[in-house]
Amino acid sequence: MTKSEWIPVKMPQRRITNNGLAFSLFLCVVAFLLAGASQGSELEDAKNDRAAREIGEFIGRYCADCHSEGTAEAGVELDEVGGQLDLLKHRKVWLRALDQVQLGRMPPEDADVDADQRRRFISSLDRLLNDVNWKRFANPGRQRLARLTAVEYRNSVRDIFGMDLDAGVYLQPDPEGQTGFTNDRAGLSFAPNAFEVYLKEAERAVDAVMAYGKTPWQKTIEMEQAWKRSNDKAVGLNAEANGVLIKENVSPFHFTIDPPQAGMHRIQIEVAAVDGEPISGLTVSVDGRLIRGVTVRGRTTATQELIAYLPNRSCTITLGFSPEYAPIIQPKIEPRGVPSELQDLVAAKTYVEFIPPKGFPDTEDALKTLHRMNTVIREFSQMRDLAQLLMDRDLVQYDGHTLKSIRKEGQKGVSQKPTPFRASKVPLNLSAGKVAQLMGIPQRELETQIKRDIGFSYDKYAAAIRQYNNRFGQQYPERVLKKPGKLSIDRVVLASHAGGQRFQTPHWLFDTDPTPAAAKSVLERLGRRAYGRPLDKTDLASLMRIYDSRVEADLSSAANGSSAASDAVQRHREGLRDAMVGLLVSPKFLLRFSAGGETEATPIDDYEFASRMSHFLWLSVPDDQLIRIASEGGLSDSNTVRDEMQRMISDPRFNDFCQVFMQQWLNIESIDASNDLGPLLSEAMIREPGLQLQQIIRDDQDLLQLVDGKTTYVNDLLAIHYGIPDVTGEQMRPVLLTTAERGGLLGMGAILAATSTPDRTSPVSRGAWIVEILLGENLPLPPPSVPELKTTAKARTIREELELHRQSKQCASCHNRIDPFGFVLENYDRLGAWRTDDHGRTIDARTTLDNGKSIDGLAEFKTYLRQQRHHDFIRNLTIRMFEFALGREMTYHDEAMVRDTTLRLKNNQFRAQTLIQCILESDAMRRQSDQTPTESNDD
Amino acid sequence: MINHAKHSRRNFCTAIAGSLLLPRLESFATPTTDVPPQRFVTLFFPNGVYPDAWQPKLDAGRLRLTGSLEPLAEFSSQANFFTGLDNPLGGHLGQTSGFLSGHDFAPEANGTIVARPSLDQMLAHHFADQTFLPSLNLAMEPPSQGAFGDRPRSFGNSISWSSATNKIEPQINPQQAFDEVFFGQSQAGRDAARRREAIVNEIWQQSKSLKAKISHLDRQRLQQYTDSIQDLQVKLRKTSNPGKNFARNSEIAAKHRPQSSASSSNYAEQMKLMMDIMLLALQTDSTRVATLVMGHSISRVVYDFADPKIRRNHHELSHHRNDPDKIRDYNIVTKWFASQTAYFLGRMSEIDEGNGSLLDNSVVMYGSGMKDGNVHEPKNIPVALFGNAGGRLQTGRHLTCPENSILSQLHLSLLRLFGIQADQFNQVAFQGIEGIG
Repeated sequence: MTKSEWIPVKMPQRRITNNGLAFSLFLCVVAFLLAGASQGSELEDAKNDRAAREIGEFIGRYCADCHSEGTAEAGVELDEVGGQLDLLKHRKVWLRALDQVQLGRMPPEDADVDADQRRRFISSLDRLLNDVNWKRFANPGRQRLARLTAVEYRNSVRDIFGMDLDAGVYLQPDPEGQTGFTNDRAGLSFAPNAFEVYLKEAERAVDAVMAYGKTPWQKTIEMEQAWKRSNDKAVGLNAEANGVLIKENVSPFHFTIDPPQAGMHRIQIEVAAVDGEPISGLTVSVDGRLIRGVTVRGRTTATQELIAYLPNRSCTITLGFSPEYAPIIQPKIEPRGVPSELQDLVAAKTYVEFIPPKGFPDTEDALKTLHRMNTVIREFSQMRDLAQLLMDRDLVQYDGHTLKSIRKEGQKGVSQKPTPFRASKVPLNLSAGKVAQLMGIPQRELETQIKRDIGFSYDKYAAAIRQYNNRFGQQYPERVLKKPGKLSIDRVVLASHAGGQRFQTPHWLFDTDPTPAAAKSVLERLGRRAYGRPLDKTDLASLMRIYDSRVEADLSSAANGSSAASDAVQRHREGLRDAMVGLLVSPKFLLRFSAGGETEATPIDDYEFASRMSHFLWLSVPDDQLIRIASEGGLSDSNTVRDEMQRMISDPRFNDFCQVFMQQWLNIESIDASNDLGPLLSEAMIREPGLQLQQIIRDDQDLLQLVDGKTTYVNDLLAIHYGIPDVTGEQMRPVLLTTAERGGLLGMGAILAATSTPDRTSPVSRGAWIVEILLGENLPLPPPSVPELKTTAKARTIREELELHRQSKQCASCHNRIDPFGFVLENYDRLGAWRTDDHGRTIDARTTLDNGKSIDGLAEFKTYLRQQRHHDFIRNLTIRMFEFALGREMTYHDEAMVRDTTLRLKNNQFRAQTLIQCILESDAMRRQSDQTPTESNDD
Repeated sequence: MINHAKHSRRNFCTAIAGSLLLPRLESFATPTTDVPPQRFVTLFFPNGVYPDAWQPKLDAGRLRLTGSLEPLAEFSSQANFFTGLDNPLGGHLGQTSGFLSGHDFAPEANGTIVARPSLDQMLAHHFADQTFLPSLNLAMEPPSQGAFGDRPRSFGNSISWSSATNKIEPQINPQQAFDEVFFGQSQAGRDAARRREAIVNEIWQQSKSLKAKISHLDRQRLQQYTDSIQDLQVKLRKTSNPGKNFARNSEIAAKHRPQSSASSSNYAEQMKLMMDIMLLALQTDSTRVATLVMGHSISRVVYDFADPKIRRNHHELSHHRNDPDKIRDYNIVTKWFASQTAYFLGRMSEIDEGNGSLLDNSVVMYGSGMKDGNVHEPKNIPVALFGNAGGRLQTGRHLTCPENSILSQLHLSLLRLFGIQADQFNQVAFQGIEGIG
């Protein structure tokens, strides 16, 4: 699938339908009443009426033919306008309509719009949509009933029991809602089979907890023995014959284990990298699910440790070789003797085929070598070696331009007239038909040629070339790394109870009398955390019924024999186990239930507020301290709220908010899917923005640091990628930036990689990203008939190509807003690394914006953003964070809140904690009303 | 048709000492007036075949299977081989994922991956009320992480989709596969179901009492939740009530659970074990639909258990580039798959169901998603059917389909063969294959 120029950003197509009409009528009445109570002057209302009429006339005359019910072109349906409230209810659609008319894109040229009427329409619509007394329409709405997201589930279970149990790993990933965040409650529906999945997850988590009441268990598996018991000869033993040897292109080694109890286990793997470079990559999977990939460094056996859930039944552990976790560096030195023409060809992603001239030796060896040269080039070093091989054997010579065949195998001396190899230089992003045309042969013949010599289809070959050699890794100064070493695994040691690490045995669970009273105490403790408030009598009784039914069931089946005392303990634990499972699937936990029903906006109680605070800042249930303060009524005091906010921000759990918020807001979650970064570098890149935000918030710095800050977070891999010297170790840490090459979100690799295609940068995507994601503007979708951008055979930079296209007026109307932003970032290649030229042409990062302002490069652009666009950026960030905190889209009902917040930020040097505090103090966080301010139909 | 020469009556309680293989069950289904149900099994092998290695011939009206197909020769009179069916989908992943659905998979704008339902799942859905398990889906290797080109590797391990967005992850662990079939049908499974029921019923009560307390705007969401509880309650009731053959299934579950050992890296043995589990499941009517992915489409397994001289993995061999050594090894692996299938068919034909053998009451679809793996050739893919669907399917034939025939025509014909009226397969109108369904 080819990516079009424009990567769609999460802007929904909005439709006004008749369903909204009845509701909007209702709101009209309410608004009318509110209006009566407010201070709106009659004069103002009259002006608004005139404006509404103006709009209605324009729509009726120029728009209704194509954009009314039944004929909704581009999905846009513009109803008759009853008044300001109509417009506000569907504000997003109308904002888009305003945009289109202002741009001149709509109505279409042939509508022959009267210029004066267009002007009046624009000013009327602008007035009714933007020049509003927002407080009239303020409505806090409510948080809809919705299930927990996978992250919230995992964290909540962790915090309820005080141990991280990997809860929820088998849940389906959550969809992105309309807000672009997965915690958008409108999107968190409950699928038909979801309850069964949650039940199984709850059982898994609780059984893992209960395992702590059993005797610890350990087992050592000698790999040599395991290997002998198997007949799998694909995997061999290492040289000392005491460990399994796993290498590239060989299937991973599986073995089964049968843990006597389920739970969190520590898996220790004694492994070394042998026979090759002293760096390698190991993957560990349980029952096919990847637990972790680790980098193995060093030739001496060392222990890799990880903690994973294992079930109490037979399961398969898979140990595999994975070069992706052993990053290899492409040496920047010129490989000796290899024709640069070859390097250029491969670097320019061209298809290279060596067709031997007449007289080339046809010995098996020479032909095999030739064959191999024509195979898919996976590692540049391989090709380098082979070209070198041919030259070493004096079969070919390179004169600076072409490889020349100089002699036959066995022939003495050099040919008088060396004949050149023919290398076809053809760009790869052309179709096979085009390639054939350029080569002057029929397409069928080209395909046969490729199939015969390469053995792959054209597309596969092209894809493989694209993956060529863009790896980064740790530098070993004296050595040029070629291939990772093989893995030698001596033994695997499993230990239950996470090997005594990470978690304390929950004594409060096990060291109690096996009585209902004790059970109640445990359930009250857990239930309080799960629900964020003390259990009420009915809740407790319900859980105790589950407990009792299990205890009694065991009683009846234990009628035959066994000691009464241990039986009582056993039954008690079984009963508790079932009750805890019930707790984790109960609606009050799973659906984050909150009582509703008040039409008027009413304050929520402190417990509810505590829950909102913790789901916002920790993506989890509130902790004991927060619940205690809530129980004492402390959260009604804004100073206490601020203190708790600061405590929560300093807590390690705050990191989850920063990571999830940034990754989803900036749309960078999936950069590792289709590029050559590898999992280690991708992970570092994805985490960078969240770490930066966390630091800005913790130090209460100005939020515009996200635009032009002088620090960022890197580890060794990312530092190499960015060209920052002297950073070692895989931990991410803050660094002070000394060049203008990095700094702020626009210098962060994840964003730059996410806005590129597999072959090149995409200034349009980057420009659109800046416009929509950074500044929060509304871009119309591209028209349906935009063809794929052709990069022609001429070596034009992408910038030159795009500027050519902008010469078309139709394209320019939007692209003048988008492309100039993207050009400023052209010094970053498709993977986010800094570059100074593209296709041999120096990068020109100067640009002219659509308002005529000229920007002399990236540094000046950041200054422009900070000085001229700070309002847009701050407003956008405010809205995004509100949407995350509230779990819903913002509407005109929230506009008053948003404006209050941005004003306070402005008066407070845009300090980060001010934003969070404003959100926590906001009307929508502290109150709720059952009139839901939503523009969408119910799901 | 029962092969009497091979049929042996063994006491089904006798386990073969020291072996991982499951014992043969005596055919205990006493002939009843009920007609035994029809089954559908798919055995899929990856990476195609060298064209010369899959050459079914008609010899004086009789189907002749030679070369790499030779292990299946004894079942030629129960076979239907097809020439001319195409599978024009995207490479290893597409041609595997779409083997039973005729459609490739693709991501939507929001990242969800969408394909189409597969034939086996359509049949599973059709029979769902009549058996304990709708279907049993097995594979030999883990699905693999990471990307292959720009698509996820894991899609090379699955041929079953229960809906456009729900890919079924096959079971790779024999003990778990066994449990999936028999634990739920055993006393222990029944107890577990009852235990869950107690929890779930209480939660159900909780949710009912919540209805009164929530905002009217939340009613639909709560309804989704309670509907989901109800779905599970129905399922649990099925398990907690003793079904037919409960006693027998309990005994199987208790006595014949495969041993786990410290290593299951023995590919050949594991495949036989998976096949035995499938047979037990079919024979006990625990399910009527089963699939086995005999190898991951981008697997790195080296089939040196088929021939110790083989040094390269199957995928690499399939990209033979006309190297005679690679072709030789490629064909050895092809033949090995055929002999595993022969084992399976042989066991099926030994199981007496009263009116015939289990094989007679089944359709086994055996094949791969591409012809020559060297070029992922989509035309004329290797595919065959074994078994005669209780007499409804004529066998012993080599059917040549007209030019540009598509695999989904066979899918459609199979739907009809199993009694489902249809003119379309996955929303595309096809003509069926003449002579099938």
